[in-house]
Amino acid sequence: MGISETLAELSRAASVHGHEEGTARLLRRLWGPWLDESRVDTLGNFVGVARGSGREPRARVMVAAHMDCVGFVVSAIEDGGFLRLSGVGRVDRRLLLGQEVEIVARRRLTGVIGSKPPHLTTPEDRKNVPKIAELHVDLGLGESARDLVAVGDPVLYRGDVVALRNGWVSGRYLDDAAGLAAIGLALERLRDVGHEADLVAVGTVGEEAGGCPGAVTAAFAQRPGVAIAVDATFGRSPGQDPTSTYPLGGGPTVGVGPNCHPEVVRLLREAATDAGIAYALEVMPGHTGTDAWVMQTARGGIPTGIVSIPVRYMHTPVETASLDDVKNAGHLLAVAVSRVTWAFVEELSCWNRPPAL
Amino acid sequence: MTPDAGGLEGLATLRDLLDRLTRVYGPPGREAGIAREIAAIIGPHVDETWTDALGNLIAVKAAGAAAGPPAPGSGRPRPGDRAGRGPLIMLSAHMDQAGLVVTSAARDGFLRFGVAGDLDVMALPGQRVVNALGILGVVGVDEGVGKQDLASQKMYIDVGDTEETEGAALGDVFCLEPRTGDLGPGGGKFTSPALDNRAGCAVLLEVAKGLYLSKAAGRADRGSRGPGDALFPGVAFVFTVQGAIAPRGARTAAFALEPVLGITVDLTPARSSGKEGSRVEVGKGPAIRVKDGDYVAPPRVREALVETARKCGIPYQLDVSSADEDAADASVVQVAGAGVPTGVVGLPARHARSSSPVVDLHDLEATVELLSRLLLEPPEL
Repeated sequence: MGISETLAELSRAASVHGHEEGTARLLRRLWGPWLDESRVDTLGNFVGVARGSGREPRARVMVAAHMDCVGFVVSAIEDGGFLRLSGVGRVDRRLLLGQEVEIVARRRLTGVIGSKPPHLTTPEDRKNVPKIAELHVDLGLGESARDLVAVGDPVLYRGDVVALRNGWVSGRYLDDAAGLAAIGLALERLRDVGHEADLVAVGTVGEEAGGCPGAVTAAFAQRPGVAIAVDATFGRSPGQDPTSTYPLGGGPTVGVGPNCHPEVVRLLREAATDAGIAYALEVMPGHTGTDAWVMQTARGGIPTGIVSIPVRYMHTPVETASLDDVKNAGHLLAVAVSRVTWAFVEELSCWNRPPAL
Repeated sequence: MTPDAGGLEGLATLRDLLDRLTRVYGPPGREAGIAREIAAIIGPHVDETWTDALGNLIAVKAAGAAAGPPAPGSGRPRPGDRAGRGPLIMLSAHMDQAGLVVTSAARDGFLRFGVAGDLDVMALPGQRVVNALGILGVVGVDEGVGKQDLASQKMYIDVGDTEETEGAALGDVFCLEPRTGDLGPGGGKFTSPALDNRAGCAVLLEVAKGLYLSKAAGRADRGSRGPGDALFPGVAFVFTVQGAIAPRGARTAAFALEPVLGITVDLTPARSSGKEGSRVEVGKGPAIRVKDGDYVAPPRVREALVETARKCGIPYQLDVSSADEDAADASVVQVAGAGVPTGVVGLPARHARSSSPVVDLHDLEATVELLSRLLLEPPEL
């Protein structure tokens, strides 16, 4: 399957936290051929293991991308069958008026978020962005909506991934379909390249919803010696700060900052340089808003790294990314993982190692 | 379930239990007194009770006779020591209540304070408060402070005179005076400042009692359920510390107990008058949480609760609480160790963050019934 088709499938399967099982099933199919074992854990993380060739004790590398996406759940069904929403994750409410949505009820339903016609708005209305709680979804169903929809059902942006020019694609939930696709490519490549360490490939739950419950519990359970989060970062577009956005087609980014262990950063940068993969350094001064934030402090501490794929218009239904960046992120991950040895992991956890100067 | 559940007798039992529990002093960090009170009530109904390092009270009803209390001399189980224990379901409720922590004790008899817990500052002026020694104070507001500028920094506790000021040291905690009362024709609704979350504690205590009684009854009918007893998995009733400020005690308890399923019980704000607000209503049954600010219920746990309620004809409501409300203990139980699927059952309360929350005893009774049924026929997880 081609990379754009993979992204389209992941985009279709995505849902808000609590409803990641569709993506987990898809990962079983997408990643399965390169895994020795896989399962869905207590909280719903998809956990796959590709065993390494090294002798015991073997290093363990966890590579994680999140399965959940931003969206909504139905918070109430009102008279007339209109749905009220509650946001899950960092939803941009400027976008919502007039948006098509998909309600994942007993079956998938299409709805629209209504808006007052401009002729009837007051000057005050035109200045304000309504709160999510003030919006309603119209299913065209009237009262019978109650038979089909329940409070708590997920509501998602609607629409397929479309191809733009230049090998770019646009659509809902490339954050983090791009990361999951990159991990799939890495697994495929590693089958040929070989790797000493066990690779634990994880699709996590709940990254967007806050607190990263999936990453923190998976890191606890899997006890990796190194953990790498693969996520979307801000793609550069007109009017954006060039110091915190990254050009599409310029390759993946490697995070640096307190959330990224210097030796893991070095591993990733050297892997990119040696394999001739273009990348950008992404300076992340504090909370990174990725799974790496909680993986770093799981158990007694885990050395973490972050590889990101630039995505424009993040958290909108038109997230835009370059297929080449996804491929290169996969390539980078594969080269980095193939270099992780028991000695490398031991060195990282060695308590009396003097700080590198 | 409980032989006396349903009907007026069951409600009267719950009411008296609430009355008893909400009169005990126990702000965050000072839970020893309420823990003793709860331990005395739950003791006869469980196999083993202990307090952990943070002060959480843990009462375990083991599954089957084999996994009873540890052999004499074997000591208390250490955190994480699960040997011989079998799977546990953790039912938790925080037992602390909001308090006013003294931040400066001026010699004029006016004590400055900070608020620990979910207490609306609007509710404070004029309230009567007491500390652990029973010293009475009233909350005053600095002269000239307008309603819009109300903040705990602009209030003080008036304890009468300088002598009393010296009896109330820095870090001392005052709680709202425990005045309880019944509302509505013939009662049925109950108010007390400490309902958050003694109401949850009362529910857990009634569940424990019911299980004990039904297990005693079940002995005549052995073999009808899980291995060797009427109860499987076992149940850990956990009364957590510091839940009024942040989900803290629950975090360590869940880590130590490694339950297969967690359910937390807490107050949930219910609709009162006014347009904006919660969609949960008092008197319409337990509020099964779908999501709140920091937590999304795993659908299978939520569905198990809904399914149990439906099957047993127990009223329930689904609760999607607004984004910025802070989460109950569930958000941390869920991510303890390798992960614990965790549900929240909310007890609807009007004016939940005021000095006088109001709950409906029928909601509490329905919650007891819901949880008891769930424990006797736990979902496959």
